[in-house]
Amino acid sequence: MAVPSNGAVSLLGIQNEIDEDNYSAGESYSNISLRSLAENTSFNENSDSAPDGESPFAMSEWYGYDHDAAAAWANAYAVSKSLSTGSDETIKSGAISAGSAIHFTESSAFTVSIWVKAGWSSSLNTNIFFWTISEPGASSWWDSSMALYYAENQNRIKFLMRSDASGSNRDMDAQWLFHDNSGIYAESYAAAGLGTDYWSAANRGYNTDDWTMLTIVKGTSSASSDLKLYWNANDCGTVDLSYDTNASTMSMPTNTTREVIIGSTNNGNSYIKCGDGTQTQYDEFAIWNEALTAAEITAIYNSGTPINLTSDSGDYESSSNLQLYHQFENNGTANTGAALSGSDYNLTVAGDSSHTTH
Amino acid sequence: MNYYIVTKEVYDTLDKDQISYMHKSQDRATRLVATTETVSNRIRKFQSITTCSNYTITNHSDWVGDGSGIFEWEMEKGGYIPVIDD
Repeated sequence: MAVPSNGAVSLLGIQNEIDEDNYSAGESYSNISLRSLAENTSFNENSDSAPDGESPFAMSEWYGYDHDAAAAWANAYAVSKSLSTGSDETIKSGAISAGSAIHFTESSAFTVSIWVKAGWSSSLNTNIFFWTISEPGASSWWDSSMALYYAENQNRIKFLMRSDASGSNRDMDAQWLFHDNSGIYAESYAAAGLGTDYWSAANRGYNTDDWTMLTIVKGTSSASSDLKLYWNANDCGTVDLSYDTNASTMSMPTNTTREVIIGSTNNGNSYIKCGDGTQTQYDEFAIWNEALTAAEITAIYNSGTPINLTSDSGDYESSSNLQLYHQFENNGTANTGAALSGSDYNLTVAGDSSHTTH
Repeated sequence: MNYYIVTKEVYDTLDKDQISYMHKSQDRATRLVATTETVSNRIRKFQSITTCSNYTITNHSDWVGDGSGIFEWEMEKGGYIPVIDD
């Protein structure tokens, strides 16, 4: 801070405030005065208080002014990841202890949201993972795992909750298909605006700013009526959902560790490659332990401009249920203000993954 | 329902209205199809959807490339649209 918020105001402080060189003996500083401060400095808009009278300002108007005040909330950074690099090129947390607030089961209500800027090309014929919450070292990526991914070969987004490595037991397998303007898929076709072309860097649907907010909202049951996908603020409609009707095999475990992975998934501790070598960007990853309403989804999408999720705003009234928030303004450090933060929840951005401006 | 792996050339001759699921191999040279049509000129025929799925899981690098495979439920769901998926 060049000019203190209270106490004495020094000429040196004024000198720094108006960007003059540091004091050197023998130089003339006739331009350093309270008047020059008033007329030459540029106000930091982030400061809670600043002179508001006409120049020259009274001394009393400077009290409380903070030239170095940081913006309370900003959205300048994201993380990016090439989809082709395979092992150890990941964006992932460490092992999160058993029983955490994000160890969801098939009977949990939750919301998970992420912003994606598609970088992949079409005709990949593989899966592109947006986020995974899974057990480290599980024998297959779908064992004890929650994941949201785009099956590029089928132009559909899939959401999966599985407690078992076998191909037959499943807690929830859901999909929304985008290129079929008929039947139950007509709603997702309309929601995404991809038309009859697959989603890729060359076709990002309605998103004039290139970013898509994808949000999974689940209620407490496993019924299809309790599971929604939003493309931005658009409800993708009726989900094509499969799950095991045998309750004994619907058993997402809470007694094992979990890790959060952005942009890939874990297959026996090999963070598998999928897609091509073009960087895809991810931003604003957030988890709530409740099902957000449609009005709240519209509020957090905010016409394409992310909002600070740690504070209620308009129709968004769930900041108190925000469990984990990765805004990526400070690399992989989890935002404070959510229920879970600190080293266990920080993400390591490794290999060819990077912290990047939008 | 019949489950086959066929070449692209054979696939091009199949009746698309009878196909409920199709997946291209990673090298794009072959197709895994679920169809009500009987195909004699095939690379492989599977006894059931389960053996078909297990085959893709075992040979995942040839099919999905992400360590998984094609699950039964994915084939059951279909979603094949001839004009787009050809």
